[in-house]
Amino acid sequence: MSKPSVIVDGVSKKFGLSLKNALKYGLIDSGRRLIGLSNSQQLRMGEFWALHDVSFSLEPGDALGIMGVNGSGKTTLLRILNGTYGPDNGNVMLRGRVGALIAAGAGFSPMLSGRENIYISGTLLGMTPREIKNRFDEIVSFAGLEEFIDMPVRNYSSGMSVRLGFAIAVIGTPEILLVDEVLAVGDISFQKKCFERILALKNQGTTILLVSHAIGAIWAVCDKGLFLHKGRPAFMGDIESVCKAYDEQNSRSSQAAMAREKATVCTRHSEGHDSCPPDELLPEEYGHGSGGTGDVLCTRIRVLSASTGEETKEIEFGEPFIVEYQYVVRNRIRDPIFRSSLDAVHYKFIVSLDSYEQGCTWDMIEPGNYTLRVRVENQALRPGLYSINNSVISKGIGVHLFYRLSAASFVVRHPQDRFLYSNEQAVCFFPASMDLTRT
Amino acid sequence: MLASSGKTHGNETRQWQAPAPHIAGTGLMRYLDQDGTPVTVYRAGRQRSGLISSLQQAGEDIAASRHVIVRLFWRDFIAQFRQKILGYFWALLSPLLGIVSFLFLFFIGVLKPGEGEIPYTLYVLMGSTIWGCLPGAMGAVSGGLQAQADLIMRTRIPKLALAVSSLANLLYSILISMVTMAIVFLVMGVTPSWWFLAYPLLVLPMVLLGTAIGLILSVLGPIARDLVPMATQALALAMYVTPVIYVQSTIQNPFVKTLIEWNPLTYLVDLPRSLICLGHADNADIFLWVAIGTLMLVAIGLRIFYLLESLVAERL
Repeated sequence: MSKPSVIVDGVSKKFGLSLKNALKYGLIDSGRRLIGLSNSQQLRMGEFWALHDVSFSLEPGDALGIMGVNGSGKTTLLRILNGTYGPDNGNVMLRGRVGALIAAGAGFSPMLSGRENIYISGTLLGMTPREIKNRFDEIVSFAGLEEFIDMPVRNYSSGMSVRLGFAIAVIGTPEILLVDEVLAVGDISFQKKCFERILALKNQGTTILLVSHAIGAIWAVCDKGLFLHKGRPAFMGDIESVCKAYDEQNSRSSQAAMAREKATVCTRHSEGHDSCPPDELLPEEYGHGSGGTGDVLCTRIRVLSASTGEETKEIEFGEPFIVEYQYVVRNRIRDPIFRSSLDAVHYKFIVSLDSYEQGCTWDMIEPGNYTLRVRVENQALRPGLYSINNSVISKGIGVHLFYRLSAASFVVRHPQDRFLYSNEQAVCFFPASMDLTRT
Repeated sequence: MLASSGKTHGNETRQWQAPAPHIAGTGLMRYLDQDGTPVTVYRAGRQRSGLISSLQQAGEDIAASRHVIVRLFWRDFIAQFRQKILGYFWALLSPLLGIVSFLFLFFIGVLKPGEGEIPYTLYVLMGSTIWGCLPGAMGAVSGGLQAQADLIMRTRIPKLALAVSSLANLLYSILISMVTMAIVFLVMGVTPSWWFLAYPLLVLPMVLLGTAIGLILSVLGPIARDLVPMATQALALAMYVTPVIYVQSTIQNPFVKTLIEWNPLTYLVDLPRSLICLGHADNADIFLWVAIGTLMLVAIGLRIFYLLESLVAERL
């Protein structure tokens, strides 16, 4: 068994929430160090854990994808591994020469030519002048800047500049490579070259740590994953499991944000003479989150598991589910139609569930309280967050008696037996067989 | 199995994680493994090292970063003079422009520096050039880390190398100022002594003192941002109790006279100037003691720098 190339052992890092705290604790920490004491390893008032108790070890050839939303601690972890920040708790050990693609373009001077900047940036990344000289043509060729290499970098387009910086950083043979969100540089053929280069390094035994929001990029390169949530290791495992966990957490966060936004709007409305929900005074014109003639109100929507009948915020991939609506009918409604539609994150009205289309008709409903249960047996929704819009109309009347947008939401979880990664904007999955023949 | 939200947190999900071996000790450590592989260890806690090991570490850091220091100097030097009408002549003109105001005040009779053996133009040029090494070194080193913040955040270059990289520019300026001084000597018809050739060595204590103060400010400056401006102002005041633009013997006030005599900077300015212009100087023993003192201050500065350097990056 080979020796681990990266060991991260209980690493934590804290920061101050304000500049005032940074000054105060900075002076205190400086004083403690100067008199030979170690820094406080506890969280003090006005501080937060940017990274808390992260542990893992990697062997040569491992590729770890680090995922998490903004502020989850990904970059802090990479900076600790790069030696920029010292850990407040725990230890890090790196065995081998470390290359950092976070340093692509480091030290570039716009007044100098591409040629001169290759020597500067190469040196800053740890290459000797002889190494740079030997690899100069390779760097220029990788960047595709043969004709422009003696032009001042300030006259480069942003893409050219990034390509040159990336080429300098990637043309090397580090034992450990730290990559931060830089695989989406340049045009598509340059991106392909970057991926090929990183995979070649991985095959040669380089340990790769890749930070990205792009699940596709992480899945393409990494075989292991670490999902950070508010600085803590929320999930670690094989890359597909971690990608699923990360995607689901994103959906949950969006769902929570949607609920918070809705609560804020309701609070704001209730401060006036409106109420939310139910709407006693519905806007009579369209363009609001809810509205209608007021003949009927939907007072409650719940998503229920079809198997347990319990209310849920999440359903499994392909699992039947029930949407339950509570209505208050104020005036008699002839030929009522109950309609729901689903919004995905990127698209609206991707599915329509209309009582008339489903063959459910009623001639007349009298004033009173009603409960409508819509059971969806075969759903092919891909993993993600979906919100439910609800409306009631009457067949003979061309306006809504009631409507409410984003009245409820639910998350579809990833299936266990397959990894649905291909397109985060896609909303449906159709099982299909595939047959490849050479013609 | 992927569990619901609550179950994705916790140790049971760490499927592939090997138990991380415990790494003993604290601080930063670099060494070669048994098979020659470089190993870097970052550990939380205080660093245990003394003045000597700080000097040793500084030597190692600077030796390992020699290419970086040269490249950064070369980059800034080229970029500084490119696309300027006078180009590299700016380097020669700068020291002269620095004393124009003093000469103006002297020739219109406002500034009465006193009679000395050295012509005033030479006196003030030498004095201000030697003095300039102190704020020059302090400014270069104290601002070195903030000026290279991008490199600190993205590269693994030792912070000391980034802090002192600007000193290369100062050393270059010292050499250029020798050319300027030689021209002024020629114009004034004064022949300098052979000590002129030892000018870089004679101003070295001044550079070391500025470096020592700069090292401390470079790590404390990003934490308390008013320290560097305060130190700059203090130096400006210190210049007036140092015989830079006036002759020491003309000072009559006993308090100021004592202050100037006890001011170690007096000897760091006066001795090089006297040796170069007159070929002899008093108080050589005091100069040597002060020079040794500046060396010790550099060791203390390095110690403080290494103790606090890891606090800098998160405050840049």
